[in-house]
Amino acid sequence: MIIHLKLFATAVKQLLQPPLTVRWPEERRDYGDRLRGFIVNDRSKCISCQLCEAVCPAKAIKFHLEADGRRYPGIDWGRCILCGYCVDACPTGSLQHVNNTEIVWTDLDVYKKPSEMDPDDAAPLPGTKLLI
Amino acid sequence: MDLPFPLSGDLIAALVFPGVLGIFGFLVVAIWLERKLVARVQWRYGPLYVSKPLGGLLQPVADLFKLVFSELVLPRHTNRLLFAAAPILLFFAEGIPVVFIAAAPGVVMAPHSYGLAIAVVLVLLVAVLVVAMAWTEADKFTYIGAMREILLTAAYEVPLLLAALAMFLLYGTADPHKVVEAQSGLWGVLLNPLAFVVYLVALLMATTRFPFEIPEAEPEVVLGPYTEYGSTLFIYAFGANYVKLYVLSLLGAVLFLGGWLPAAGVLGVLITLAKMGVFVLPAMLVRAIYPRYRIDQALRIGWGQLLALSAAAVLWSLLAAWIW
Repeated sequence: MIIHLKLFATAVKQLLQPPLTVRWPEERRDYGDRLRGFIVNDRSKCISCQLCEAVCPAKAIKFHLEADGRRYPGIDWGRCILCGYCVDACPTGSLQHVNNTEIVWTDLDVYKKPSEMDPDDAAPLPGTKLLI
Repeated sequence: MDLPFPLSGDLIAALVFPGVLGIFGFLVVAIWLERKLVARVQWRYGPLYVSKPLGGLLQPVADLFKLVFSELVLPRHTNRLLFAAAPILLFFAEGIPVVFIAAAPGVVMAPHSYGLAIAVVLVLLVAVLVVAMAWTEADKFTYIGAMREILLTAAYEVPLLLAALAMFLLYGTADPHKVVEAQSGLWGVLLNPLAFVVYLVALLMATTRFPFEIPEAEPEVVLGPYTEYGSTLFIYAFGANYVKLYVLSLLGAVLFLGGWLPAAGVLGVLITLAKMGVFVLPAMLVRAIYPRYRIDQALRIGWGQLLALSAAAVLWSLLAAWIW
């Protein structure tokens, strides 16, 4: 009998606390500025060494030939597990995490292929809700 | 406003509360409240997509529309007339006991000196229709669900009857008006707390709320007796459970919580409505609190502790009536 009253008391106590989840997309989490988000390649630094392709455990990186006659890594963000091995392996630091895990295009006109993106294009929207 | 007919108490009872409007309003509010309360206990927001300023209150209405316009499937291997008729019969049969329960002085459809006793019996008779519905669906899940429903009904109906009997013995009447008058000093819950506890647990079993959600246990038997229904028939089949909760809460408010006391008239109706919350809110909250009992555990509770408690409640009432 007592245990049931305790159970109800716990439920009522939790009932009075504010929700932990956020109402995305109106509210966003503030993850801080050291988040391991999507990985974007800076072409000016890339030396096409293919170390990132070799180290990628999810086989998300494939190199492809581009118009300037060099090969660049293309990252399949559907496969990428955001582990950061390629960022660690990159000798020039051209691969970098951006501070964002949710990239949404609201329109086809603003859509960009990953190969066309600069790190600035994947800048996160400001979050307001703290994680804890 | 000039009405072509007199707006009498029984007409208000039939159309507004505790009649048609009350039942359908309860369906919407109860489903919303259940989802919202459980969400808040689990630190979520609950439904907000439809009608955000109202806190998602119109979500059940939107679900209702969606269900009405979805395809109605009548399986060929069943008796299709009975298949379609069973949930509708069940829904309205669950609502019939309301006819004998008063929400305020004079606000009752059929005043009867044994009104509440008839209401209790009618509530218990409806379990037959659930089994009949499961039988017409001709499906293994509904079959298992029906067997569990039968076992559970056998476990709760004796304690429920004894709890009601204890209160009738205490008040010396089963007329809804006289029952409430008898509680003008102390409410029934204070006069016989044992009967109240038994009634509350039996209510959870009767409406298959969570610790006893055995007939429609989703991971085991899909939805039990409600498995085969879709579209409008699903609304009737599944809404019937909420109507039963409504009826039993109303009955409990009149039996144990003094009904419309200390007011009368419109205010009395509102007070009855508020007192129903004492039964409805725990019934909604248990979904977030309890796991599900096995059928044998539920039967052991029903035939063991609950039956003993209800017998004790009857003895308590007899003693109390004898002392006064």
